[in-house]
Amino acid sequence: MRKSKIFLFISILFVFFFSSSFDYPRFRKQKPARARMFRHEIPLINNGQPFKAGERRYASDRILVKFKPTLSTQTIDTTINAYQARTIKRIPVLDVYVLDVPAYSSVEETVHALRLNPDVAHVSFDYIISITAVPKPTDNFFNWQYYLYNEGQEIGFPGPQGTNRADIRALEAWEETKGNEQVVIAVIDTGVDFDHPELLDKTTSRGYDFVNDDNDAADDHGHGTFVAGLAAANTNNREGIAGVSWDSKILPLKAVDSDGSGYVSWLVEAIQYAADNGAGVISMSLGFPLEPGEEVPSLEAALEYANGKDIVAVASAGNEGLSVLYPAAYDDYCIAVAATDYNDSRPTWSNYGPEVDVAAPGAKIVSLVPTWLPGLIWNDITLPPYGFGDGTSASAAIVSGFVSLIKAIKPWLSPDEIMDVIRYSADDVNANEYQGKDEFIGYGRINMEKALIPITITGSK
Amino acid sequence: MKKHITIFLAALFLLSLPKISNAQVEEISFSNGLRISPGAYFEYFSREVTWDEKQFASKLKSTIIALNMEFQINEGLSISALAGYALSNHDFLIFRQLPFSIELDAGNIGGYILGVELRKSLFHMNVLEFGLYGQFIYQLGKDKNWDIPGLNVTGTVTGKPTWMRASAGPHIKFTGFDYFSPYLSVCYNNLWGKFEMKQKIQTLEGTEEKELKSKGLVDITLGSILTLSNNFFLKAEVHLLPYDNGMDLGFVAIASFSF
Repeated sequence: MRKSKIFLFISILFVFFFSSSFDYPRFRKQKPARARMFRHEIPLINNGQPFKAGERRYASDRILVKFKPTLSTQTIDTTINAYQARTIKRIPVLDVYVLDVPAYSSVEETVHALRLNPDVAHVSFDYIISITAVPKPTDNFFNWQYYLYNEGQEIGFPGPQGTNRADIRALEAWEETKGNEQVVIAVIDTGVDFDHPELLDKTTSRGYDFVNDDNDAADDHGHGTFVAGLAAANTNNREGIAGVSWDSKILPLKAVDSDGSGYVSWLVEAIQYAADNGAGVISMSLGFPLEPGEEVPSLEAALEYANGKDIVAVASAGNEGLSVLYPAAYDDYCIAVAATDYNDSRPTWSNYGPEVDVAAPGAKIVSLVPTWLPGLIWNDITLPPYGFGDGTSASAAIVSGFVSLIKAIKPWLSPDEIMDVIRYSADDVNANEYQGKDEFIGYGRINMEKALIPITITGSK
Repeated sequence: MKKHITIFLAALFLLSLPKISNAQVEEISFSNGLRISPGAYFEYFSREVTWDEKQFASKLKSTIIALNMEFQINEGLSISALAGYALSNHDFLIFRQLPFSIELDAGNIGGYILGVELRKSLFHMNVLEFGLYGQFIYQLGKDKNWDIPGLNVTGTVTGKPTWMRASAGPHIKFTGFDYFSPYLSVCYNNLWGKFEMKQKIQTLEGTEEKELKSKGLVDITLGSILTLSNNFFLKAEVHLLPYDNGMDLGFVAIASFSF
């Protein structure tokens, strides 16, 4: 009788253990002496895999054209009509036209023809950008944020254990600064969930939605909320997670739709909007591939425009284990961020190439998910949702928070100088294999302490 | 420290008391002829200095070794010139304007010292000699380079400190002993300067100048001249420089030979 009870008990435990991979909400207590910890699982997005750039690379009916500045508006209209195209919109300042190409005329032929036109400064496909990570939601707390402070603790519940101090040295850096609200991080993504408690009072406005062309960058996907939280979630508020930059504000700009993709023209507009509306940092956890010989001059021009306004652009390298995506690959104007994990190792899915500047943790990253996703109710309290995600999107968002901390205490530094500070202060965590800058993690995993805390000079040279 | 000052002043007062009763102001009698006294000068001082508009403070410590040439133009007026070398310690200065903030904990930085000192006797009251004292010292630091530790590329910072010190005030000397002349002066004493720090890391460059100002401005000097022979004498001074919540100290020793 006693043996059968034990057998029954073990069987229940066994079933319970294996059922943990199913998708239903549950919670467990952990370390009761400390803050109560809950686990909240909701259905995985993208099957829990890092999001990869889509197969369709550019729009089949849209192109980007910039005409030479000597042309009058009337001549431009005539030229556009000659190609049987229609103006969808003109992006001001950069003076780039987004044209609609009729179905009976391929965009490839139109682009080729326009390249031969001496009145055209540059022309490109309207490439499709895609987000570079999707969160795997569950709940979390600061001690799961190994990327901020890694003591080799368990990450998640259950979760892997990291390596002691395989982190970005956030605790040390926060002694010098926690950021300030004058530094605005423009998060160009799927928008943000304005109702999330970790983002309340964190946004400068409702932002702009370039997908639906309105003044409300509400998140209908989840990715933007996730990355915005990493950069600057409400911190030290006894709930949720800590943002890298405690006090920065977020300008949400929606350039990616509810499916996780968008047009590069939306991205170009969003960059320009950020530059004209007080952003200090542009965070782009998105990208698209370009084949050799292909280019998008209007995107590069938008980044140059932002750079000229002392804005630092940060972009994710991508999660395909292939070449670095654009805009991250624009070396002069973007910090290209690859991923590391809780052991300071590089996940194989992290894109690589000479454009990679630095790496930041991007595996098993905990952050916000929108409140409209199914939430857990515990003791009649609806818990704000949080979740785990993987991808260089997270890495780029962390670096964006880092940039805003630098700008908070050294607003006089130029974007190029800030990029150098971030590069040179990184820890070369793969020095055993690749000494110095390499294609996988660039100069290394970021170290905020070295960049922000005064370096003590001792002894003589 | 206050106790020691009180004892010293009390002793000075008691020693001068018998003659002060017959006090009469005497004109200083000048004798013609230039008297030159070369000597060795040693000084150590520690000064609380503020920077970044008094937001921060640290100690400037300096050790000076110099040649001192005193020209006694007449019995009541002497001018000294000073030239030598100083080791100045500016540890705990923090440079936050540079691309990478730097905190100095590098010990002494060498520099050249030039100075001039003036002493003028005004009148005597029996065994007490009243006069004026003034000193100006300029320290020009040499460039010093340090590697920046911890970065993944090589980089250096170059520091160059410069400071000046001006001191002036009344001076009372007790002349009641044959070979030993204690004195006291209470001076305005200001120290100011700058520390220029340059940073170069690959293409990343920056320069920051830190303005330094001494916290305390009053210098109470207790000293004595020990005459070992007609031509050789030693001088020793203790400087007390009170400021809010603290006191700076300094010591001076001079060995002079006159002819």
